[in-house]
Amino acid sequence: MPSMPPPGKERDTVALLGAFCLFLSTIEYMIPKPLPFMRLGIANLPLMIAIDLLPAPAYFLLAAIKTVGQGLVSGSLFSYVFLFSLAGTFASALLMFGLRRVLGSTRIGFVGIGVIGALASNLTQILLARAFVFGESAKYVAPPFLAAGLATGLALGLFCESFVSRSEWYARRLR
Amino acid sequence: MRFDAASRRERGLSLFAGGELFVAGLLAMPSFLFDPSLPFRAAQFFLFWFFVWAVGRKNSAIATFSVAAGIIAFNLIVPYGRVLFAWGAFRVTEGSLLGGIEKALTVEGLIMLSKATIRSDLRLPGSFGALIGDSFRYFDRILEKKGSIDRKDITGSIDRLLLELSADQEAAALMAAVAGPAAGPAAGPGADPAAGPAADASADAAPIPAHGENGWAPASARGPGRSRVGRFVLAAAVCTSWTLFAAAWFR
Repeated sequence: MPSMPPPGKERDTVALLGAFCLFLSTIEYMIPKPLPFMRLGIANLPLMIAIDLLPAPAYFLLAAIKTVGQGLVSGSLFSYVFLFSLAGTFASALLMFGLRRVLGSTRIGFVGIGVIGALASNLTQILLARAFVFGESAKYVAPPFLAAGLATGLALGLFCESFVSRSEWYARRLR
Repeated sequence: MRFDAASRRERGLSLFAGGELFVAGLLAMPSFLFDPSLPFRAAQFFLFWFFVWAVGRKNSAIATFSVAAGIIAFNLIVPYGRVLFAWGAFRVTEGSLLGGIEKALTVEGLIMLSKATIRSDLRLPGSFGALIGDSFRYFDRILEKKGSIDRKDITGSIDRLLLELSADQEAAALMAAVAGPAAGPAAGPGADPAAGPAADASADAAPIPAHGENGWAPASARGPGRSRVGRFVLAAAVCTSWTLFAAAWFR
């Protein structure tokens, strides 16, 4: 977990987007789901918005705030749900951030980032579910779970694309 | 004594500090995770379940049992061990049934333990803890203003909300800078002065910030005597969990 706080405006962006992660986590928490760790991933939206706003340390600090904050809001810090969330968030954050930095905004857009992030998160969670909860039966859960991830990743990517192109707040933070 | 959810929640707040609950949960967790016996693990699960009820946290029995049933059902798909009975081609085997029950108990037991011992007023130490505190303060502000998010213009309304929150923060920072260093660090809009980074050291004595609909209102009275009772209750719960663990090992 990163320990050095980012300076001034950057710190404020992390705290503000962290709060949005908590807000979206609360909404997600209220949506009924077949298993507690099977989330739609809407709380990943602030991570996607932050991808061009923050440098790597601050970005992963935001990912840490998202996971720990989710654990506190939903009271799941001591459960497998937290482990699943931690692994899924960091797998998707690493891939999304890495690909955007390596390929650049011209070669990969928010839709691509959203889909890859969602698939990375869901795949990681399926692997953990195989190890801790379902065993071999995880292969039966995988197809609908990955399909749901694909759909939400696509939707989040489209939303993010629309948000960053229209948002005044985003334009100001990007400067 | 009243036993409705609000009264239990208020009692839980006045008896237990967030940090003490966290430590109790941390101490109880290994006794549950490494319990080798299914019946004793089930007893621990019900102990945690009772604690969730006692502190007034939301807990749906239907959701708990449907998740547990789902985990058991998925485990039954891959058969191993003695065949207990069969429905046509589908065989229910002893190994997969017991394995499913054990996994379901573990998943749900840890969720119960978390629900009982993790509160959003828990203050994490250090700069990371301070940053999480700032996020929670913004979160409170978002919850206050969530009505301003318009479903017909989600992008625009979220943008306006972010601009408003940022402007409030800049104004607070400016005021803090004008007031000088004696006024302490800028704690952000609507900040609970006791919840700012400077107040982390005295977290136990500080009032608990309300966290909207997840929330816990500030405990009206939390004297040292009541806190001692709370610590005794927590110690008793942790000891009960470890006693069940020991009984499982030595039976």
